[in-house]
Amino acid sequence: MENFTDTETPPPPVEAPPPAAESIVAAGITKQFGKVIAVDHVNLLVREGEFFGFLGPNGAGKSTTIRMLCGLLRPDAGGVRIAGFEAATQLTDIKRVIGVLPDEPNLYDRLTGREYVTFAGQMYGLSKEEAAKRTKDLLDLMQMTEDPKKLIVDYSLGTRKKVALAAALIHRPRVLFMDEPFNGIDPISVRSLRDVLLQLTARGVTIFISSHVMEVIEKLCTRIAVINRGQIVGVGTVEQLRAQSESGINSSLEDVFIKLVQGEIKSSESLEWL
Amino acid sequence: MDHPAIPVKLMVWLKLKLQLRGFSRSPAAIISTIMLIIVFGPMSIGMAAGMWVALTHLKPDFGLVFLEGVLSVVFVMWQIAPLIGFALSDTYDVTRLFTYPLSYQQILAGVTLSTLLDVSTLFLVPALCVIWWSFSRSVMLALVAAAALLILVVTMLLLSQTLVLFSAGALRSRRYRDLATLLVLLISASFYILMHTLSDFLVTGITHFDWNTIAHSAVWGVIDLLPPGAAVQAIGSAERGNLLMAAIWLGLLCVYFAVILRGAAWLIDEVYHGGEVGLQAAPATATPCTTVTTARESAFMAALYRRLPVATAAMMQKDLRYFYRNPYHRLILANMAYIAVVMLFAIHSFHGQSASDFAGGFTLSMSFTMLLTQTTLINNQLGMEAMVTLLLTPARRVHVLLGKNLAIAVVFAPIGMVLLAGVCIFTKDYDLVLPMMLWQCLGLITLLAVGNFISILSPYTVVLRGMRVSGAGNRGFLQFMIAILSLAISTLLLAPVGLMLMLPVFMHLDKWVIPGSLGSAIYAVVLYLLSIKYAGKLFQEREQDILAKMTRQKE
Ligand SMILES: Nc1ncnc2c1ncn2[C@@H]1O[C@H](COP(=O)(O)OP(=O)(O)OP(=O)(O)O)[C@@H](O)[C@H]1O
Ligand SMILES: [Mg+2]
Repeated sequence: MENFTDTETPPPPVEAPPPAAESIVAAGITKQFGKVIAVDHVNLLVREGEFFGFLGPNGAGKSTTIRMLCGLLRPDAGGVRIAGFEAATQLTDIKRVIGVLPDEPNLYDRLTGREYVTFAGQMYGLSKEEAAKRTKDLLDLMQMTEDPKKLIVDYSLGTRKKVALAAALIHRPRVLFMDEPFNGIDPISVRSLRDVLLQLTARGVTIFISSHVMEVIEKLCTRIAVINRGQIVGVGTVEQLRAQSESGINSSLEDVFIKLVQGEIKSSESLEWL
Repeated sequence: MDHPAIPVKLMVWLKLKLQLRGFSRSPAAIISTIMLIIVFGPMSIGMAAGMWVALTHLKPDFGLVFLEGVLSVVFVMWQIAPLIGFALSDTYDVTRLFTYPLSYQQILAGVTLSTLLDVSTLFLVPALCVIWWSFSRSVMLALVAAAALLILVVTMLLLSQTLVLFSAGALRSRRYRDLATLLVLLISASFYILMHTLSDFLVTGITHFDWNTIAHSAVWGVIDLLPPGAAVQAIGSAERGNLLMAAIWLGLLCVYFAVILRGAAWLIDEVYHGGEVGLQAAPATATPCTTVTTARESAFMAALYRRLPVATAAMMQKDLRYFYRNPYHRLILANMAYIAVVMLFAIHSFHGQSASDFAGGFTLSMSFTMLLTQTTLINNQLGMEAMVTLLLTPARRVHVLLGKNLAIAVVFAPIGMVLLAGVCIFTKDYDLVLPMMLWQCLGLITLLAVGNFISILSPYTVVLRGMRVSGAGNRGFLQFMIAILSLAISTLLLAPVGLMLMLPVFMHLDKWVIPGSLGSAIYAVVLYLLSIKYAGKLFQEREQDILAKMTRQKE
């Protein structure tokens, strides 16, 4: 993975995308916590402009994988390459081109939403004026109805998520990682968010999204990977996954998913007391 | 769960389980506890021994007065210590228990009984045993003494836990949190004034120490009526054979317990439910939230921000906002305020004294204290960062550090300089004004240089649990020792600045004043430049480890 070791990248924001078709490459990444192997030799290849879904039961290793892909966690083994940059050596270049919405947004909660997003923009190298302008556009888009003087501590869960998302988009990322982005966001905002995300992929942005909402994934994603107990158990379009899991032609993604992870639907017969 | 005692038992079980789990999972917790025992164990035994000597050698009347005094001090300490930052007990977050169908009385009883198992409480046991043993001359007396001491300790723990819970709730509730920060300022300031007066009293009063005056002071009339007093009075009455009075005093003690329990239940309901505790997605209702007025930045600051790298300016501006919005930062500012108060008090108290040298020495020690107080923040600069957010940005880590340093400097340097200049003018040491101001400035630069390394090598997440500020998890004491070690390092590296600046001034070596100042300036600046260069690099290299460490601590 030694191509594109271009260390002389211009300062942010990076305008021209590196002419790579491969946007996210994970080669055998592994992470072990104590005795638990959370992620076990995962290989992934996501191309530019793809809307990539990442599914798996609770504790399968989705968040851990995403944290390794965006450089928040060092893999025990294996390598990551994002937009042509090696994670081991060019982490800062990667951070410049990715936007991340973590599963639990960790925000500066003594700032107002507006101050926070502007702050994030400046940390990506935008001038204060530019950051402030983009903040306004983004927060309008997210339908932020909060009192502009309210601090983030006092925000509701969904509103925090919107703020975190705005901060993840402000520097025009080429690759966007989102860990359960729709969790806690109201239907109206989900609709407008979806439209925005589709527009982004149309412009060549790669989106890597984990979610438990099958309908959304089925509608949005061009390709999907399914992880179970740290291992990838299926990759491809919905049709390809159907074939891999030997599901019927009309089976939903939900059925396919359950089959792939060999989920067992517990019967509720023994729960008569409930 | 029919019987009301079952949940209480469960809570004690949970506490024990968590405590033991803590040991089995982290060696740090074991080391921490061992160090706690090494440091406080001898004190605990010493206290018991002192108690023994006092109770066997003093005349019976004085013995009781002594006992009452000691128990009162312990009682008060247990109430104040958690409020000003000394964690006596690692209470788990009781708000989690609010989802269960438990009454507040049950919760409080469970929490109080759990604290009986705390190491800090266990340290009291030897002294309590000695007290009990020395009054066990008859079965009746032994029974009364046991009852009195037991009820007293439980009442003490109950009140202490109530205050902790109350302050935690107040600080998290939207309605009370500003009030709570103000309160902590008042409590810590008055505590330090009290300590100062007490130490003054000890120094001057020890020579003419007169048991008779003290034993017959009218103050005891009031203290007798408070819980520690009532306990001792009960024992005293039983000792004189007046069982009726003993029963009455014990009854008063029980009334205290009951009243505190009821009051605590009410208070906690009020602050946790009436005041709307944050965190758990409280829907946006029409409650008064804290809103902020975004202060217009001055032309000076705007110009400064424009000159700095964008990330540095952003970081600096964010941290400055934190200084007036974040309880932790406010607490540190409050600490500096109480130093100022203590200074004023002290200066006031040696007003009549002529020796100006004494005043100079005092000013010097205060200036040191002032600087070292600032290390709380300087040595853990990442403690309040949203680390995930910060580390996801490509901003150069040197720029981040620089921004954080600048924010601290902009706030602390003027405070230190103005306060010490004020003190020097007040004591009429006009020739000290300039050196003192320079000292505060250069000292801060040196501390920042050292603090950058410490912040990166040993970061810990600051958790505001009520008014206590602590590193999370049960590494409490270990973290405390690391903090002490860091403080020692800071002091060591700070010393040359002070020596070069102050020695010529105090020794009246006029020729050396200017070279000394120059020398200390060069020392401070070089140290800082080195720090910025290498700490920035270190930050970059260690960032994933820092993140892992700080997020793990949060659990
Ligand atoms: N910091 C950590 N320390 C120890 N174990 C961890 C840590 N982070 C994750 N794990 C473990 O790694 C495994 C995978 O966790 P991960 O958070 O990646 O799951 P997930 O797929 O995101 O689940 P969910 O759908 O519930 O979000 C789990 O067994 C979890 O307990
Ligand atoms: Mg997850």
